[in-house]
Amino acid sequence: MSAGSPLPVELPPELFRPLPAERHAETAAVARRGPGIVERLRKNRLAMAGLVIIAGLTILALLGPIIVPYGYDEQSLMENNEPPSWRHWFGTDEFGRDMFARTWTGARISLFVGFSAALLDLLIGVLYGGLSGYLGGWADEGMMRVVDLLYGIPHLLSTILLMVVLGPGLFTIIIAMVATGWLGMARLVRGQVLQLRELDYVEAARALGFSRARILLAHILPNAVGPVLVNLTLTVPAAIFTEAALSFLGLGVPLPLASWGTMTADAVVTIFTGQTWRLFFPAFMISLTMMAFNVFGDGLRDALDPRLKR
Amino acid sequence: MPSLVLLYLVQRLLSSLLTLWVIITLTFVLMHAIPGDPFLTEARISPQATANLRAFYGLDQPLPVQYVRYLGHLIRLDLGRSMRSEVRDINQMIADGLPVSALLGIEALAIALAAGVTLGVLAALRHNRAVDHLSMATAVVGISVPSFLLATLLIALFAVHVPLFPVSAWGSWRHTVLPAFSLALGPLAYVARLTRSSMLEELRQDYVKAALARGLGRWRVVTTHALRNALLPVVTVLGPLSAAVLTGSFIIENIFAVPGIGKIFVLSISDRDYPLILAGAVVYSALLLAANLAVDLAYGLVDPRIRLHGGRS
Repeated sequence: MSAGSPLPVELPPELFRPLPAERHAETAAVARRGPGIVERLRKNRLAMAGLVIIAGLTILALLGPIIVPYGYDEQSLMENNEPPSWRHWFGTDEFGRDMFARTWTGARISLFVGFSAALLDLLIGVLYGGLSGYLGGWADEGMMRVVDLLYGIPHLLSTILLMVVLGPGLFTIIIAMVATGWLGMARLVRGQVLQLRELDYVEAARALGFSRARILLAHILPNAVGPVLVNLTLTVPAAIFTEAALSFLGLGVPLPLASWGTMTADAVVTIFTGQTWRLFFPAFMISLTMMAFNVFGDGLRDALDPRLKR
Repeated sequence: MPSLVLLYLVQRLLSSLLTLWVIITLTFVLMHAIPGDPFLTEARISPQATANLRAFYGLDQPLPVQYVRYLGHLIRLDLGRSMRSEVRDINQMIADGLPVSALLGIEALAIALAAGVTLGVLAALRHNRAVDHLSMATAVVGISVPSFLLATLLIALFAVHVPLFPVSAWGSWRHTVLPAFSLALGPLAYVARLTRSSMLEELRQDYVKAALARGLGRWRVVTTHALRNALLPVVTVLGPLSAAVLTGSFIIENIFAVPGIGKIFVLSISDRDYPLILAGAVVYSALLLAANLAVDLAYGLVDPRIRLHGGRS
């Protein structure tokens, strides 16, 4: 084969010209590969059920305490320990307080604790992990050494110890949980950043002279959103669980506040005395919330995983 | 290369000890940051008696001296004296509680692993059939229902309505069933999901097809070839699983009134018994770090690739 031989196939120059405007739809269709993340998530019925339950619980947390004519702390000793009825949909507790109002006020507290802890974990973890991964070198080494050291502390143990020091309170619970909760997120984000910063488009951004901060915030972090979102979805139920567990140890939100955890812990005695509805509603809501977030988080992970195209 | 293994072992041991030291120091600082005096009670005690008490616990010394003394005692494995309990010697309290907690924890881990692996393998072998759906439904329930709710439910069902097992306390094996199962369900669900997905992955591998093509029995291929590889991810999560069982015991031991170290630790918190809280944090962290170390070593033994390349890709 000599260099001067003619090509076996004639390639007319028209092939190398841009397509006319009316055929752009065709090229766009070629460029779009397979169903998108949202579409794949939407096809996952279990994950969608989880999302619907999360939305429903949130709406009920907002509206539930308003739609019944009783306050969550309103006592009516004449009507104590009544089973569910038309007057009191979820029954009443030992002080005659309406369980429906209490369950959804408790939902506000539990969901607030869950979401705030998860969001604070996210904020600290993304900033710390992102910075560590992006700086690299000895700074990364040092920052990750700190994370590794703290990561060895069992989460529930450090949370309990901090609660002892900080004292009871809604915000102290959140602080105690976040104090070691952000470590996992920081590790995750750092790993993502280490992967992403080697890619060509980051190299290109650097060549264009963008500042380090801009590359990190506008080019690297948005592409790490997937795994971070999954982690966030799974942190919310973990935080709700931890809050409820603390309530069982007497370290829950202080009176007169009530969370699902404190309501459940207060009602454990009813398995002997028989007013089990006082236990059932908050306990069922905790489990339902944990299930909803877990199946939604799993679905999100599957939708984001390109290897799982089934 | 035994020298490399030894070096790795020493390195891991040192970093575990460093973590333990950080935890001890942080806990020490935290405990002394709490405002108020542990001997400030309603009971009227003469100033001389209070001073004697403070001297007995070394609280009259400056903080750095207390810290160095505490570390010195810890190195000699002396956890100090409790402030509130009848038994003053914390070493004795831990020695009494640890076997109880260890029995409960090992029983829970054994249930979780045995049942979780079985469920996971069955689900993978019957992929997308009834058994698969059933075991994954179990897994979702196991992850959704917190251990303390399961414990309450189990007491209501199997101790109050159908009195098969005692409600609480400790003694015979019958006392261990409900707490161990309450502790086990969460890890069980996790192990089942993990085993299922890694087993599905292994069953798709060429070596499984090759073994089947050579005419080996399906049962033999599954148990001796695929399962061995599918269990590797399960071994890696043994560390976090032990942590879950360990910290889960705080709550479960309290619900069932099991006289283990979890109960002692939680009691020390409501009593504000600072030396005991510190000791609890130290013991729990040491146990967890030891468990993680053991899991790392076990992983090296199970995975042949680790000895060849020094790490898995």
